[in-house]
Amino acid sequence: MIALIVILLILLALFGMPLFTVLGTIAVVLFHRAEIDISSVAVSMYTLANSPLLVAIPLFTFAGYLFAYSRAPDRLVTLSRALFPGGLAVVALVSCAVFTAFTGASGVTIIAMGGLLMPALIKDGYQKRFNLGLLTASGSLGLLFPPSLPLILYGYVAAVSIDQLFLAGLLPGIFLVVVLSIYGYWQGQRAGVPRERWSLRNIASALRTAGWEVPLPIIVLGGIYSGFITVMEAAALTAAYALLVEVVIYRDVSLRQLPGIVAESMMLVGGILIILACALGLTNFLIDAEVPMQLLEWMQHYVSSKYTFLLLLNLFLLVVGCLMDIFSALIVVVPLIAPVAAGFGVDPVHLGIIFLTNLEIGYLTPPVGLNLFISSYRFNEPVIALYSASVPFLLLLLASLLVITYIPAISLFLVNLVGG
Amino acid sequence: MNSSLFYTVLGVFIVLFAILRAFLDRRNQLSGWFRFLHHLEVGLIALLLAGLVGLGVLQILLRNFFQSGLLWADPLMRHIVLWLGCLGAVLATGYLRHINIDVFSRALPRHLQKVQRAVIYTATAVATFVLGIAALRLVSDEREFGDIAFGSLQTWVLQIVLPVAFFLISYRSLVNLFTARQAPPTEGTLDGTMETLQK
Repeated sequence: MIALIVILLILLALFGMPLFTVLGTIAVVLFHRAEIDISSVAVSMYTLANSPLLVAIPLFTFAGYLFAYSRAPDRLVTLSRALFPGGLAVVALVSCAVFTAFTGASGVTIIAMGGLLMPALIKDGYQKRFNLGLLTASGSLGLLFPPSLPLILYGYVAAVSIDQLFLAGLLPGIFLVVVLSIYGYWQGQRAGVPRERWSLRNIASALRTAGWEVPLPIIVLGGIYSGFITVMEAAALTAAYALLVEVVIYRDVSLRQLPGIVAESMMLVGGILIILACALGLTNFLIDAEVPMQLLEWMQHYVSSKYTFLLLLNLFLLVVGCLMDIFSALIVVVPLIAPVAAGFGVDPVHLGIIFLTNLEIGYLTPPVGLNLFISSYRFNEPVIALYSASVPFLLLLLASLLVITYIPAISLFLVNLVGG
Repeated sequence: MNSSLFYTVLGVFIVLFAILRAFLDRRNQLSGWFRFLHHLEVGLIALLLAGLVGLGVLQILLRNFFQSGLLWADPLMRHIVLWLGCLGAVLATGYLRHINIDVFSRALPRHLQKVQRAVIYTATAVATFVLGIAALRLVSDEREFGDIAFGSLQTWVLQIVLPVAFFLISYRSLVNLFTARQAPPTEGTLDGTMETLQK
């Protein structure tokens, strides 16, 4: 009977039942069967109010949406153009990565930056297929850079120090951007696109246009890395600063637009937090039932080396990443896999970077990678066209993933440097 | 009152209200009143968010320039996040913006998609009603204990948002069912509800 209900719920999930209801109801059913009062599910939900880290989520999300609705993307592209003279493709990669780091939700990047970059890329003479792949891949490129939401969420779910994660993401994030930029530069050379001259005057004028936004990353990241402010305070500061700059100084966003932006961003926050709330009950139950430990024992029967485990983990996460969005994937999978990975001697911080890189790639993996659908909607192209357009990027990212997975030092170098 | 009787009455009320709402929507009646309620809902969310930003900045200023801080600010901010999450989830139900996996429904023919939506909305309404019951039991337990969260605020008062949110989600899901609402093509993207909200 219980198994039947659980199977039914999973089936409903695959047909589009909101994930939080599925997770919550499975938890209720399991607690009921174990003769524990079902209010335990709600007890876990209430623990959301215990974490200072989660306070950062609504604040950063709101700030990100505010930037997305303003002309900040425009100014960011102008600035990157002046700073990175490798052709517009490189500019697109860098600016999308920065934008995603601050907005976190990957759909937002394609919507806000894509509409801006696509015509410019075409005008500069890049091939259409390349442009589509580039912008689809750029949609999730910055996830490893602080203060991205997935990093914060991983820190919360896996109980890993957020300061260490913020350090660990830097080099792998830069590595991914560099790998794709080399490809973008090469494609630009082949298509004979114009390149911007690197001139102090251009930089100065771009800095003047974006003069109010440039200090923000410096304040936030400088504040966090120096330990002067906590992540939670940095988030409050970012939201307040974004309001000041976009509404009062630049007036890109009118007061009338604000309620819409608040509602839009808080729907995303609600969507994430309620999954987290419902999943906490379920994962607590599974951990009490020692499911991760059994999983570990079972795995150790078949897999002996850490390296085989990591390869299997990559494959598994790619499948998860193309089925689920990054937030629910982190919330559901991390509590089960983290103890197993620890059993195989994988550093939890490194594991986080592996997780996020995998899920980032899952966004572009056919058939159901989310970025493919968002791009399809945004650029009015059939999804099939995007499958083939994103293949070169997918292959490059997969190769980079292997490098990041098998050379932990890329992720851990800065952490050890600062910590030790 | 007997608790199973109470839940039955509550369930019937939710269903009746959803039917009434769907009926009025179809006849385009009371739409001004509903718009007012919607503004109220978004307004409450905006107020909570503003409080969160304000308290956060205030704490930074107090700590760094006056070497002090408000003792209740941190727990209050954490509870605001709980409330924002719950109310955001209620709002997201109305706009069909909840995160789902949904591998199969794209492949279904159009007439079966209607059936699929009806099944999903009904199942969501039932499931969230059950979750609402679980949350309500927590609140009533907590009320008996009478724990204090911070200041003189009792924990159960802060927790009440959980059952309220789940019952409202259940109600909204039924409204979606009765109005046969369909997710816009912009689902899950930035453009999505901007136009709707600015009407």
